[in-house]
Formats: sequence, structure tokens, C-alpha cells
Amino acid sequence: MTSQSETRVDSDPFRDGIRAGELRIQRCVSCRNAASYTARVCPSCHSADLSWSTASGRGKLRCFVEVMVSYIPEVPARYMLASVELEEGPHIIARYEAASGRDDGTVELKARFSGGTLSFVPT
Amino acid sequence: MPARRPLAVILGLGFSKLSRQPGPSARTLAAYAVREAVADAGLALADIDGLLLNRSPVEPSATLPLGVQDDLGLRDLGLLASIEGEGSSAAQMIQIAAMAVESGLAKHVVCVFADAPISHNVNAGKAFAIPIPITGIPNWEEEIGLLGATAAFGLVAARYTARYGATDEHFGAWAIAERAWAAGNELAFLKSPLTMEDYLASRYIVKPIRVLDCAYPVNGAVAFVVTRGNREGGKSAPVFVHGMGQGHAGCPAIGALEPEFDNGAEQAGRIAYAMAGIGANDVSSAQFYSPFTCSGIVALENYGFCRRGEGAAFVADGNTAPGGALAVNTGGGMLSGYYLQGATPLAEAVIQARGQGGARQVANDVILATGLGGRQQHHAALILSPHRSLR
Repeated sequence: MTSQSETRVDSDPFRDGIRAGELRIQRCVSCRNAASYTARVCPSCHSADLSWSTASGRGKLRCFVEVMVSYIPEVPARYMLASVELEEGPHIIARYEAASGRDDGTVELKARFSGGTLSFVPT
Repeated sequence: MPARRPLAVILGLGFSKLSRQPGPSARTLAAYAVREAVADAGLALADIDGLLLNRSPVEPSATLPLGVQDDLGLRDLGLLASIEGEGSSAAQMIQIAAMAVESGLAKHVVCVFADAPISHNVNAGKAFAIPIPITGIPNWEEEIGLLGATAAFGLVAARYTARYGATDEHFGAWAIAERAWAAGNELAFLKSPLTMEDYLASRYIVKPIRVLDCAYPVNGAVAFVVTRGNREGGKSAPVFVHGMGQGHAGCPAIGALEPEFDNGAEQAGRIAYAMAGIGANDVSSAQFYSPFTCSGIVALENYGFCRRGEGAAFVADGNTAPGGALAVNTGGGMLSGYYLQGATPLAEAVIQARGQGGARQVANDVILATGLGGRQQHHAALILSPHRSLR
């Protein structure tokens, strides 16, 4: 586990995790609470010592969208994006792969790693 | 109970030309709108001693710098700032100006929003399809293709649908109602009648959001002159500010929290209503900052016009359309009127309060105008009226 405050500015533990086939979330070193991806200080105890730890990669589908327009050539449409509530608490927005269609937002998902990228798929 | 004194008065309103074509910079448009607003207030530029600026949050600070002061030849200002509350900034400008004139920091404050998203090589869609950092993971938005507000608000529409079972027709009803209002607004850009068939046939941008769910961006500027509540003498009737509120729920994306709905708007409304001594039932017209159909439905709920989950049916029943129970976005809103961020609802609120709405004029005793920023994290609300006292 690497403390953010001790690592180089250009280190990227989240993407290192994806390349290693694991989903990482932020956790407070002091109180051990999981923190949202937007947190830079622990919202519970205000410690600045957030660290990256391995998550289960499991979560619940909150909602998803399907992007139908290619805004930039590097990211061609169509693709789906989901808001996922991870088992540990934080919500993550990430690529989503499933049969298209609406649902009631209770689908169980797991992280899938392929070629250094992350997506979520139904379990 | 003694009658409440208004907090401040909006005495001047000024527009630049609004356009879908490339043209002058935001800075140039701002100066034009300010001159119009100051003249409308019956004042001279030399009378202005406060200037507040609001640029688009997706533009760099140089777009609308503090140097706008010098473009206007304004000297010895007692108040000068750029407000950075994202889409809540325009309403925040009026709030800060009201406090400034009340405290004596300044006598006459001009507040201006200006934006020129459309240029020779950037169209209206592309201008706003930039990565907005909402995930918390640096540069993740570009990597996964979460580009612009449409994807972010697509998640709001999708979450609303997942939780409350809204249908495409519910969202369409909001767009159709705004289009019907736009018919009476000479400033509106999209006025041809819109049917549900047209709406359902319009292409998806980020499903479930169609192109007809989205705001219609234009280049333009709008300025407002705020003075003490005892001041009159403008070319139009004074518009009194009776209540104001903000709400920034600070809702992080974690656990059972619902950043899509429980976002601070309810707080902004509650504080503004209490300050004005009114409730949602007293509101004659609501002018919402709603860049997408889904955000308007959520706003109706947060500002107390219907319960959570009931906004979609409220809209589908025709309540927000002309002739409905609640006059909402009477200028056509951001979808059919024009999208100038927080200036859109605020300008329409002032026009309605003045009784200058022409074919679209509605009862105007109490007008709610709102601002909404980011992925709905930031909210500001104003209660405006042509009456000096609401009692």
C-alpha cells in the first residue's frame, strides 16, 4: 500500500492497479474509512493521508448511459458508461459492457480488466 | 407584522445581440450588455461603483477578466470580482450585489454574464463537449469518454429513471412545454411547435438524452444593475429582491447518497422562501436553470412544487406548459429560448417582474429564479417581485 503523500507527483496508483488487474480505491490511513474518488482529504477524520488499497471490484449498477456521438477520434462512439456503487462504498463512473437496455438499477457488477483498461460487466 | 423591506432592487437589464453565429468575444459582448443595462437603469457609467463578472466555467479566466472594468472606463470601483460558483454564479452575483449595496460597499453594482462558445471552428455541441472533472480521477473523463455536461446529466436522467420509473415521454413533456412558452418570446431561438413525435424522433446524444433534451447555446451577454431597495428612476419598473439562498450539499459520490437529486437546491429554496416570508405555494412563476429536461424535473421537486419522484408526472400532466398550474421557464428556458447559463432564468424573471413578457406574460407577484452549477452540486435562488412588499 502506498501513501499518496509519500509518492511522486506523477505516480498513478489507480491506473497501476488497472494494469495489474485490480480496482483500487482511496482509504484513510488513520481511520481506515473508504473515501470517494473525489476526496483529497479524509472527510471523516480530515487526515490528508489517503492511501490506495485494493477493492473487491464488485458493486451495484446505479445507472448507465450510452454515448452515441464521437466527440474526439480517440474515443469513438458507441459505448456505455455506468455509475457503480462499489461494495466498499465509493461510486465510480467507468465503462460498462452489457446488453443494451434500461434496467431498475439493481444489477450486480464486477470489474473486468482487459488490455490495461477497466470496464464493469454484470456478474 | 411589519412589512418586510426588500433586500435590493434590480433597476437595469441589458442584452448584447444573441447569436448562433461566430462573432464578438465574450469580453466585447459584456461591455455592450453593461452599457445597455446602465442606460436602462437611468444611470450613467460614472454612477457605477461595483462590477461583478460571470464567465462560463468551461472558459479560462482571460475570457472575462477583471480588466472589463477598463473596457468600460469604470474608475474607483468599491467592488470588483469574478464569481466562480459555476452555473450558480449569475444568481450569486445578484446576491452579492444586494449585500454590497445594503452594507454600503457600493451604491450601484452591475453584474454581467457573457459567453461566446460558438466560433469559426467550434460549433455549439463541441463547445461544451469537453472533459469536465467530475469523477475525481485525474484525466479519467477523457480516457473513458465522459465528455461534457450531456454525459454527466445523462446519468442524472438515467438515475431518475432507475429510481422513479420516468419514461421518454416524461422528459419530452418538459421540452414540449418550454417550446410552447418560447413562441411568445422574441428573444427565443426555437419557436416552431414541437410534438411528442418530433421529440421521440430526435437523435440521441448520450442515451437517454436526445438532442431535444439539451440546452441551445448562443453567444451573448446579459447585464443587471442592482441598487438599494429605496432607489427608483429606471426606464422600467423596479424589480425587488425579497429572498435569496444558496445550497451546496457537498454530496460526495459514496454510499447511499444520491448526488443526482439530493444536491443543495432544496436548501437554497428553503432559505430564499424563508427570507421572503413565502412558501412554494406563493410562487407565481418559476424560472429554473435547467440545461436538460431531467434537471428541470428534479428542480421542481427540490424547490417544493412536488414530492420526490413526482416531478416527471407533474410535467407530463401539462402543469409547466402555458395554461398549466405553475408557469415554468416562461421564455422557453434554455432548451428553446437560449442558453446563457445563469443569465437565462434571471433575465426572464426580470422581464416577467416588469410586466414586459408580452404574449407570454403571466402573473408575476412572486418569481423564483434559480442557478445550478456543475453536475448539480451548486445552487442559488432568488425571490423577485414588482411589489415593494410581499405582505
